[in-house]
Amino acid sequence: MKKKRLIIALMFLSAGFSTIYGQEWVAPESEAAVVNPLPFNNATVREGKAVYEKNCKSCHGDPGKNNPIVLTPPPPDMASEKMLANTDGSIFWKLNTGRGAMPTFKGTITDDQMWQVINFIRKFDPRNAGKLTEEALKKGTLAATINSDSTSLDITADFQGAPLAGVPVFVQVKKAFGMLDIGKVVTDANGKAIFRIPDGTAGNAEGKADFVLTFGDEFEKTQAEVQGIKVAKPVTDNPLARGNVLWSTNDRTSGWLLFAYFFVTGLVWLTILYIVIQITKIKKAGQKN
Amino acid sequence: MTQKLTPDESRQKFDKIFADLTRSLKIKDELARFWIFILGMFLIVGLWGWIHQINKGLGITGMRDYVSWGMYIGNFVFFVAVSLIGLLISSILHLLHFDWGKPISRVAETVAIAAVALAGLVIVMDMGRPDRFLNIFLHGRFASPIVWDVTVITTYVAISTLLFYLPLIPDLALLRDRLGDDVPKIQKKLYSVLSLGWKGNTRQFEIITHAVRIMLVLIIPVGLSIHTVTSWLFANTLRAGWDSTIFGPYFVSGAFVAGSAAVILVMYVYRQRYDLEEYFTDKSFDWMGKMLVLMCLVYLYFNINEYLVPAYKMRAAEGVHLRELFTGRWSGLFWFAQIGGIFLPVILLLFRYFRRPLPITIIAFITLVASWFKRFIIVIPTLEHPHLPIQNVPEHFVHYTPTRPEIMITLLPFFASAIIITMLAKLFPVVTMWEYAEHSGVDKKTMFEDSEK
Repeated sequence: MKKKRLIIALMFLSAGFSTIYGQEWVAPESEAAVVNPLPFNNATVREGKAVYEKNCKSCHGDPGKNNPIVLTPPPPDMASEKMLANTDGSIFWKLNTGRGAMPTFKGTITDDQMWQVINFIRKFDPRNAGKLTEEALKKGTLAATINSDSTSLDITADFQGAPLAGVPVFVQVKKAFGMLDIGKVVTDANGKAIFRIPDGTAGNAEGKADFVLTFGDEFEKTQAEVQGIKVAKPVTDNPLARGNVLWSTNDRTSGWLLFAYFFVTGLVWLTILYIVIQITKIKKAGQKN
Repeated sequence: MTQKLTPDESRQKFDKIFADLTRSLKIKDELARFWIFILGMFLIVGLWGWIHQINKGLGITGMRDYVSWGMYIGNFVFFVAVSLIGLLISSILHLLHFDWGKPISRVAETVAIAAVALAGLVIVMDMGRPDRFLNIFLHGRFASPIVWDVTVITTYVAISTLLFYLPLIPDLALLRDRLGDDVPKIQKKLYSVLSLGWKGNTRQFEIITHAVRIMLVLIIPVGLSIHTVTSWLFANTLRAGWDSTIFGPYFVSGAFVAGSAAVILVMYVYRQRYDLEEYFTDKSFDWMGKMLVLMCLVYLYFNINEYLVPAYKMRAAEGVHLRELFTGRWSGLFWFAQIGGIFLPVILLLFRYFRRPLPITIIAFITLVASWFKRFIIVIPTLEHPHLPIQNVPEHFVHYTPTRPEIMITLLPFFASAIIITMLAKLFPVVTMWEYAEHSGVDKKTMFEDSEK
């Protein structure tokens, strides 16, 4: 009994200390009591994961891997005990308010998306173990062609000839260091979808882009590629490689810089050459007498 | 020139000068062997570390994605800095007719050659693939300060060597003609070849004086640019702590502090080891002390500018950097470098007591060590705060801690430079004999009467 009381006292004490020193971020009780309107299921968790990867991962890292961005204080890991101790309502409130380096997401993502992210975070709560059914990965094949005026992609999704209806297809563009998400379409009853290539999609130096289409996570990994589509004008003037840039290749170096380098270096080494000639004269001068 | 001596007095005086200044060439005792043995052992350990690094790659050092310039670059800046003393003592003091600098100008040149040669080696040591070193000459970009740095260091090696060699030619002739059998034949052969048939006639002296004068002027812009360009490796970036317009003069003034300290150390060793109290006099130490104070004050002025101006504005990244230095993780090293490298010499060397040979040598040693840490403080803390934070990196990528092989390799150039300085002292007189003798009133004719035969 005494032990129990001591532990409770210590817990209060430590909570008190952490409030003072860690400046604990606590949601108002009324907000913390708000209940997540979305059901906790595979669909909402999946949506939440997509929202998380787009908006949260760059700072908080991968849940459970404790690999946040280097900031002080470090952004907490989503799968940490401390994080999961928050109620759904209080996470929702924090997403709306923001504090310090953590911005408010009000207006950036919708309320629904916030709740989806919360569901995604809850996936790592040990109390939720077994609540999500393990689904077998679906199978399917994707095909895509570009339409005649290169403005949209015609997408077909099927499984062994049978069209896959109502399946989300994600579209990405290959960039120099990875893939850039540019959008998502859902197939219609015939397993077809049309993806309009957004204006301003960036191409390579020739103005061409390679598109990669994939199903969501519930499918076995499969992808379709449409390569070399002209989406923009070729880049003729790259501001990063203009002539007058200090750190650049020799043919792009400013003339004054090259002149200064060779003029000064040449002058100095000609003088050194002159001195070496003088040294040889010393020998001659010795032979004369 | 003091007083005119009679030919006999002249001859006697010169015999004494010659005997004193060739003592370093003849000395062969246990201590000499022990010294070379110790240096050699450390050199071998360092070389072994380097071979290890070449085999395994730079991964064996503490350098990672954040701090990609570690102790090696700090070391490089230090050696370039020390080499600048050649410019200050043998050129500027000479051109300003500060005669007390003359006997130590060869010491300064020796230090300069050893330091700049090793600075070049340190850069190669910082390369993961030293076999690709030549690529900088084959494919270098002329817009890159690194190419300028390689150019200017090569040039400075050439000029320092010539400036060491030119006044040495008459000395070499003296050694060729007057040294007995107490040096090996091969060594005498070397003197004979290098002295270029010196006879000591007026024409030859004219040529030497003419050539030396040109070099003394040439070394000033080249010497200033060697360290200014080194500072541009940092200042031409936008990093907090480096992005500064005064980095050139800041580095140059700091270099004079480090170089003066190094010269004082070498002077003291020569004086004690080769009994050269008459040449490296109490007066020269006194002058060196005064010069060190002056250089430290100039350096202090640049330090104030370098820290106070950004500290007044406290822009975000600069603020983080300055707090790290003044009160944060690096404050211990930072204050050691500032106090030991600037405040300590400035305050103590104002008193005549501390400008005596032994106290000033101890102070110079502390200053030199502090100067090394100052370069460390300039290079590393800035790198720990990149503008774009890198994500998902292990903790040891963020903070830099040198590894043991890295420390071994960093120490290697110190032993190598000590060996170069020792070798030069064993081969050539540590003071320019003919210049010193002429200054003491000995006639040039008397000096070279053997050569003319």
